[in-house]
Amino acid sequence: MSNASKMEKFVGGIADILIGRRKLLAVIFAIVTVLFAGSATRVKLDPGFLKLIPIKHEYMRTMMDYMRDFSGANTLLVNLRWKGEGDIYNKEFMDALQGATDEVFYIPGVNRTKVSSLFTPSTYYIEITEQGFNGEPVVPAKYSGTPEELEQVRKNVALSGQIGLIVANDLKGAMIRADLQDYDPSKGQEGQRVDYWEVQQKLTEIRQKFENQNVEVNIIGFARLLGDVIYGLLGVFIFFGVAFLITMALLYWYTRSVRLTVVALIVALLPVLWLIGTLPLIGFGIDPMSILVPFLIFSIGVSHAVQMTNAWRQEVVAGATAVEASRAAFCKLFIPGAVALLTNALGFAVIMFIDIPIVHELGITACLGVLLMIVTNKMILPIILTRVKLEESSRQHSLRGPSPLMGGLWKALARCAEPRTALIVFAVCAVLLVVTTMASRKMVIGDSGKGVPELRHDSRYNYDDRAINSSYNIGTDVLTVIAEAKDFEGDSCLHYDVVDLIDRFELYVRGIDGVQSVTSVAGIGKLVISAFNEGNPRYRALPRTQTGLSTGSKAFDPNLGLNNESCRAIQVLIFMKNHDGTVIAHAVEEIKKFIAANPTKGVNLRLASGNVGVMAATNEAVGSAEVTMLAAIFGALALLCLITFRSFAAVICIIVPLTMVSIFCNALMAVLGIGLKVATLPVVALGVGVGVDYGIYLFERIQHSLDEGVDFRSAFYDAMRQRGTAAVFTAITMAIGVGTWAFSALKFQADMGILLAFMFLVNMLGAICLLPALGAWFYKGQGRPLATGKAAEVG
Amino acid sequence: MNRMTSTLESSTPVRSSYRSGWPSVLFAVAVAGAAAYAFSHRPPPPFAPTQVQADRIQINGVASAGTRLVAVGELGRILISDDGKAGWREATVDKPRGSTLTQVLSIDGAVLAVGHDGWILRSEDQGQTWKEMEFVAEGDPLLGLAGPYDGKLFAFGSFGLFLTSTDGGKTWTKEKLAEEGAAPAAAAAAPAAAEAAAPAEEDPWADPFANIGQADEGIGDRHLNGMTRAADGSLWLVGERGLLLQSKDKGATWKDHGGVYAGSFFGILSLPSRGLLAYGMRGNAYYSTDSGQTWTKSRIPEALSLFSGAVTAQNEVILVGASNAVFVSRDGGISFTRMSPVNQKSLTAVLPLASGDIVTAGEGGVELGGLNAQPKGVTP
Repeated sequence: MSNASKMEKFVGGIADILIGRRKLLAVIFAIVTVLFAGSATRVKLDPGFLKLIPIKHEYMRTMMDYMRDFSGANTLLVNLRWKGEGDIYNKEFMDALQGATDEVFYIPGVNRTKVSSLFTPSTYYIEITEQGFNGEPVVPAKYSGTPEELEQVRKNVALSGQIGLIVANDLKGAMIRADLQDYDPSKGQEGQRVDYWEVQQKLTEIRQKFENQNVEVNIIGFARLLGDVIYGLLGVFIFFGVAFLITMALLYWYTRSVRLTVVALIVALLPVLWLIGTLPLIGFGIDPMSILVPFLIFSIGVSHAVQMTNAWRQEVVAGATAVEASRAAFCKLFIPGAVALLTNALGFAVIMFIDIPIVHELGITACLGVLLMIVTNKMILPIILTRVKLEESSRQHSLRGPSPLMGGLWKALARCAEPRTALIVFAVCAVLLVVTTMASRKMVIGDSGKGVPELRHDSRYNYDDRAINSSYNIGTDVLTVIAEAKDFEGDSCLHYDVVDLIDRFELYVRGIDGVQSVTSVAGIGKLVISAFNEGNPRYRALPRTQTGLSTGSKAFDPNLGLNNESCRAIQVLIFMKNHDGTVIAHAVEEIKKFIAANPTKGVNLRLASGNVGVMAATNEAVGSAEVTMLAAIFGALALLCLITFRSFAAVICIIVPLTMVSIFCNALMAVLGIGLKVATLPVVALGVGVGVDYGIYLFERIQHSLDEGVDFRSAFYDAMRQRGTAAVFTAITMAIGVGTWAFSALKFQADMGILLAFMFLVNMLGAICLLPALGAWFYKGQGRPLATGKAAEVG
Repeated sequence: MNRMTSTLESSTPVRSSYRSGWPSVLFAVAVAGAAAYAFSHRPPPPFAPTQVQADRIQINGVASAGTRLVAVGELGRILISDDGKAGWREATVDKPRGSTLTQVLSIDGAVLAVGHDGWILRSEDQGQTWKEMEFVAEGDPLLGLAGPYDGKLFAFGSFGLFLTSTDGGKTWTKEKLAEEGAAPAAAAAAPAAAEAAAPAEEDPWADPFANIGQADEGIGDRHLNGMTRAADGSLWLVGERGLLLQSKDKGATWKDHGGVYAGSFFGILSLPSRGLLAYGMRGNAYYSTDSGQTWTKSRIPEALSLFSGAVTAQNEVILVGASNAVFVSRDGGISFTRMSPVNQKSLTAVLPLASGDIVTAGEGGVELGGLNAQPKGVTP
């Protein structure tokens, strides 16, 4: 008791300062807001490849070590598809391909030595004849597009073995491959960053320039993806507008007061503005993921503003002046509000267990936003409310009390607080628990499905991806293993031990379920050796001598991109059938088995690069963060509740529903086919961190009554009458706010939106159904009814 | 709240009790248990075991041993199948060397396989387990096996490597090819003229033949690719740069019929018509109906190199090679028709089965029924 009263005294002290100095504070807050607004104009889009990957992960360190030698995952494919009569060997198409090759060549950031298409000198054909090799560039140097030359090109392409690689299998398309240099370690991190926005604008120009009724342009690659993601983000603003309007309508319906609606909206927008203003100051920008934070902050802001204005309105309706009502509302809500916001912040903070820069930024930004909200909601809102005069219509509406529907609902819910009904609740929940637990086991880590996971199946990017994947032999899902062979004399590829290991590894990997094909110096070397023996396939083997191996040395040319100078590092490209999380995990596990079983002196096989390597690292980072993150958030929340309520029963009443809903969420993900990934892992933490608010607000009220000797059911009923409507209301507004993301062009935003909306709603249901059921038994048979008449009515 | 306290006589705070709250505690424990299970390590779905896949390994030779099929190839791997359908499994080699195997031969009571580094393997249980007979570290590759012809087995390979065995392949003797007649002048002359057509200097692929093909070696230094016994009992050995050797004395001495073709022969078949068919690079196959005195070029629709051949029970001649080529002749090797779709992968071996099915093998592994039923529908 003494602790509680001390706390009340303390809060009262703050309230006095806040209300007493409200004019000065208002001026200060106004100035701060203006400054933040000024700063907010400087916020920039800051996407980047490296932000998306767990850079500290073992695989990603391998990738970073060889980023300069091997292009990594940042390849750009521009495919021109002929829709007219016949195949690609006509002047119109070839002119377009030539033009597009030049355009791609001059895109800033493109590694010009690695651009390849029919029109680059690197594309040769080699014919093995009785006399030896015959080789020329596929497109003759003096090419001008005559029918004879086109026929020559057709013959050369057939001999070049490029069909399926840079010429489509059905001869209806040809493509340009280019690598972007995202990062050059020698020039420092800032020196050589590609301006993705510029690249993607260039790509859009290329598409516009060459696409016509006969030619379709398919472009895939990270830069293009980013472009589509950014366009997807622009759609986000529409959702923001929609969510804003719906929230506004709901607010008005709930308060029946224009003034309170406007105040709540402004106060909910303030932390968003402050947050955006803070970003440039701490060197952050907006990226596809962190753009969702303002939404979330707005939604949470509305929810807290509703609790505050609701309390204020109750005081005003009870006859208090605006200033008195503000003070009372502040005193009542400061503790539960601040605790709830701290738990929100905690929820955002623990997602930083996922060791990926973009998630860190998300965590920091969201955490910051919520902490700012303690100032805007708990300080600025009461100050503003001192100047608000409640409309008479709203007062009348409030005096009428809860609508019969709501009243009936609360009475029905109050039954959950009776031990007997509680058992029914337990039984229903137990059934749900069993069903969802079983379902949740089917949830997978990583992406499921085809195409790029960021975008929807029917997006242009995924259309292009399918167009390219279906007409070429190359896969776009590449897992790269790098073999380091640093200490060999001369060229490491001329040492049998090195190339034989690669050769055996290649054959082993081809036997892994989920692998499409493998390319390495061993396979190419054998091809070259066989080519030097009249193309006889029986010579496709690696000789044990240096002299023998040197026959295949053309395969060890660093320009082919499979190894660096002197084969100090060799990459093995593993093309996967898809990038399902389980498939990747299986491949990685099997590869690790090979590495463990085949130690070779001086050779170090290192996982992993390529886009699948990135996914493998990301999935592992996500997978290993999952349990840690959940343990951290639940542990912290339990501790926070324990400190606030000083009762283990309270902790159980609040945490158990949240735990159940987390299991529900996993089950929902399994059912909807949403994998656990960078975008969805934070959802549980966010959902729990935000969902705990309902429990805290309700239990805080319940505990007040319990301390005064009121029985649990009455205490719960009273809490519901005072705060239940606000809780239900906020759950609905927040669910709508994030639910609008479900329509986003970006699949991960849609996934996040659906899951968060689910978490917000079901956590609310847990707080109003399961929480009282748990409490009913802990506080069974104690206390007196609050008001005999009402209790009888309920009973 | 003031209102409430004033109306009640006492205000003993309500405290939680675990004694009464046991159902809640029980439920909480159940939820905790469920959560622990739900969030514990999720077992991955089942995957096929990692093993050599019959369609993802280069196979260079196929033979049938009893009812079993034996396929040998890349990195010394040997696959066996009891039914020839999907079920391929790896055989056991007592001392795996990792040298690529190039050919397999089934003889009475044993199966033999040869490969790179002079590796010779022998199996007495229809390919189930294999024992090493010969291995020469850093040795030259063996490219083929033939026999037994009059009780003698032959293994041959690059740079005139030539081995014989008289004990069913258990022990092998290295032999030098002895020439019967004069030096083969015609064969050596052909490549010289071709040098003029060699590609431009800056071509990174242009130098290979600078090292080989210049020197005027004897028959004993060239790669030996294929061997057969003609109907008249003479032995025929073909190889690099048009090498076409005949031995009328069971392999003791050899006579070169050079000049038929400048490129390399990859194999030679003894035809049911008592004739011979030698095949090689870029769609070149030559048949002879007069015991090898004169040779005529077969009509093959595409300039694809031919790496293996066989004759079916129906006397069809099959040649397989680059770009998945399967050419079939119904007229004793005079003209061929393509019977297979085009893909980038070379075929290296072909084996007609008694059932009428055909096994093809190569870069894309081993496949049963490659042209099964197809020749029936297409007139050659």
